[in-house]
Amino acid sequence: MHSIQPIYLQLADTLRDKIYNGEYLFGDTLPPERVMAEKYGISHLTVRKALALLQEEGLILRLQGKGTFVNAPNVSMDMREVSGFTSFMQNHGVSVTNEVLHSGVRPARYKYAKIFQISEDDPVFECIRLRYGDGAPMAIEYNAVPVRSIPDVAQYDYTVYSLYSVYANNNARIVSERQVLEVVRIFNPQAKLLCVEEGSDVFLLTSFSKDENDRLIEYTRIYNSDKRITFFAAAADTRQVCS
Amino acid sequence: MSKYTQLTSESIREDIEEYIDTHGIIPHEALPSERELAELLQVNRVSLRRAIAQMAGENRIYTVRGHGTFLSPPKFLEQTTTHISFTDSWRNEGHRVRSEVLRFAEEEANLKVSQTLSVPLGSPVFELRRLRLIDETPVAVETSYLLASLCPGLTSFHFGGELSLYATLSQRYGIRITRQQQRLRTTRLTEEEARLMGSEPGGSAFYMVAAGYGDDGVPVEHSVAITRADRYAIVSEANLAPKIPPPEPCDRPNERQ
Repeated sequence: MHSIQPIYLQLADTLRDKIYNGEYLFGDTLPPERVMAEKYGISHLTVRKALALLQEEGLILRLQGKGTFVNAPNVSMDMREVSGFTSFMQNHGVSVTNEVLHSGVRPARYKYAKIFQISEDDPVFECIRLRYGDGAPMAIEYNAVPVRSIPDVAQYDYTVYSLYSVYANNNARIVSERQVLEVVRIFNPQAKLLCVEEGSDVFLLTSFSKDENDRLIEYTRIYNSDKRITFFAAAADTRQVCS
Repeated sequence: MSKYTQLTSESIREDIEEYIDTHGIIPHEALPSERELAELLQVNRVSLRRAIAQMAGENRIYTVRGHGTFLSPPKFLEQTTTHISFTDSWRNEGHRVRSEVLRFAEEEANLKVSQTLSVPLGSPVFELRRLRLIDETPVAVETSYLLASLCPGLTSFHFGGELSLYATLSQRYGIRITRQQQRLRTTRLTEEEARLMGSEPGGSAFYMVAAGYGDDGVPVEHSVAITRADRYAIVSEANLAPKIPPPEPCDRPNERQ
């Protein structure tokens, strides 16, 4: 351990790493506060401070009289992959259900005219869904699709259908995505829908999805409150050796 | 009745964004007051306030009590598929990059570091903790760990200012870090981190853990960066067929064959 950080942060780091490394798995209990205090030779108060931080990050759950539980299975979302949210979560063994909060066709107006390079009067299909993972709300997703690109996009029930399957039905396929990942704070009514406190940190993933003809056919914002998710990114240097 | 009651604030948000664009509002310029905006956009103030809170929560705008609401500067967008060296990447995009060394010393590898670097616990490593600035904006506090045996005498270099760690490793030690993997989660700034970055304690931040690999696939660097979420975001270009194999389910990719 390095010496410059306060002890509680060092302990939080150590515990966080054990969780990320899979040493402590989802559903495991952490040792009691008293045991950790003895093991590391630190005070109860320090242990409690470290646990409070991890609880705020959503990595652990502390239940009165029952102990401290790990609340973070390793679900790693690879930012280099193009896949619908549903299939991604399902591949990780999470059962996904949806609630459509709104769906309908509207004029592009300024916002979507600019994004899709279409005219302000062009119709855009908009769909807002609350995503549940294993029955608990985990994300709010806003989709926008120009109707000219996917003519029958507005005709499906997106509680059951995925946008990807509807694209396939229109002989369209998403082959590339530009994704922007941010950490943002959410407020009501979004916070309430996601069952998190107002001002909570969530990942906001904004995607611009293109088809084979390099045509932008979907603009999506996902507010992801699921603390189980780690985003994974990788870089490779393909340049020549710098001088 | 629909559970979703926010469409009004969504459309107000669109109107505010349109206003900002079409009126050529520049970063740190004030937006019209809440009363003026409500009149201009013909909306009620409760919904307007909600839209403003949402935009502020996403750092598009910021509010200074008693002074009004201002346009935020755009976030620095890290192009993650090519971003390996912080200094070199941002410099190549035309930014001024500078670091302040907060600590640089030899340490014993802790559990996490020894696992990433595939060395025994307690092996000597250099710990380099730096404040990172882009265009004089402090964006991150980053701690790097490097195996001391790979780069003896590294501590004689001064990584404050504009010297790149990766360029030094490449030029002085023949170690080229050509691949990097990072994991991103959220955290909040501690008082110390906030003070160092001139930001608010408790501010939202990325918790970024990265591993850097050399030409031969051997792990060279383990780093942990706490990066301000109000000034920084990650961009990724994803394609149907990723060129690099996906990560292993466990957090410790074994790079040695």
